[in-house]
Amino acid sequence: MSQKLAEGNRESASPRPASRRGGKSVNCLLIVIAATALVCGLGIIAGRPLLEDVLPRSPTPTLAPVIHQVSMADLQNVAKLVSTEYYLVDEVQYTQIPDNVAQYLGFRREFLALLYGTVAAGFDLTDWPLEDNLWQDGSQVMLKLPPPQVLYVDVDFERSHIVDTGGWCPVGCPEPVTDYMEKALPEAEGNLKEQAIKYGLLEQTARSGRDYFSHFLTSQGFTDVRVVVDGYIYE
Amino acid sequence: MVTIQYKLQNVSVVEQKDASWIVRLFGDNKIVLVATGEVMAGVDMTSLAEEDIVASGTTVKLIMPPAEILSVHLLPGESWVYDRKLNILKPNWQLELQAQQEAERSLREWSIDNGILEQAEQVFTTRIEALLRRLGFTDVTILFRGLENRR
Repeated sequence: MSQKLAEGNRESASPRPASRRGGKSVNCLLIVIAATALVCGLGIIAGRPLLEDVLPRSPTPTLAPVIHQVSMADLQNVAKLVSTEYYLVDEVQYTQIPDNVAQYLGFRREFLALLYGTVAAGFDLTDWPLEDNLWQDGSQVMLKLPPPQVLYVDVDFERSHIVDTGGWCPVGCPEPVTDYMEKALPEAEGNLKEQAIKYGLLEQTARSGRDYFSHFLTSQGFTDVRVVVDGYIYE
Repeated sequence: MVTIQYKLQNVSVVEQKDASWIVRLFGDNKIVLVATGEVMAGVDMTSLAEEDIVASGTTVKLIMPPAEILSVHLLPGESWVYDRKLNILKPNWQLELQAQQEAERSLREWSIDNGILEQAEQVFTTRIEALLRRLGFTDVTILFRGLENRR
């Protein structure tokens, strides 16, 4: 004990450069700050479920008044006849890996989202000249419709949601919502459209369009009605 | 039939404040979403019944259902999150979706307030009238029912 004290005194008595002493104390300080931050961070993460139980619960968190500002970007007169809609769901899974050195620390975050949406198909009659596509003679009429197409994909935001988030990525990863908004949604729209076409949306649209117009023209008093859809043959 | 289409941009600020002040110490959940969307309005022709079409000789009368909003959808490729804050204790990951719902609702309301339904009916009338005249009808009447219940 006395020897240790003596050694300590000897050490402290020996002269050292001031800058080196300062550097060491800064390092110590940094280590202490880092350790404190780590402990606090781990404490918050680990204690969050516990805190959520202990904290006074509000029945429902209040949603502050929403501010909206709307501006018109474009207005179009169109003639789009929607004849078939498919309601589908797409499962989107994302893994975020930092694009810097943090990736070597094993940081990663995953999220899974379910995106529901309606894919609507029909006929765009906006630039469809009647004189080239409709022939009428007495009680006979023939109508030629353009090929059916997907007119829009409408994501159901009320039902769509991020189902799960996993992993741990304190630095280097974008927030899940950013990827959700910028990558998952556009991708989901494409996937929903692709799935709908695969399940025969366009064929069904062609069929229902032909049936609809046949019925419409018959109700106008025409007895000989023929409706054809460009690119589709139905007997 | 969709007869009019608006492309709109909407800035929505959605903020969620927790009732507990302890939770609020760790910040609020807030999002600023810039959303671009399309609002389509027109006439739902599937609800057209046999008795709504009265044709006789060269005269025809159609009684159509009133125009309605047929679709409101955001364009994800043209929408982005401008700002976002998360509460550390109670992060709300679903706020994004709430903001999108709010944006859609806002676009719908704005369009109705700015007369999209009336415009949809006008365009519909013009187009259907042209079709019916092409079919040989010279006296064409197109009416919309239930206008007093609009909105």
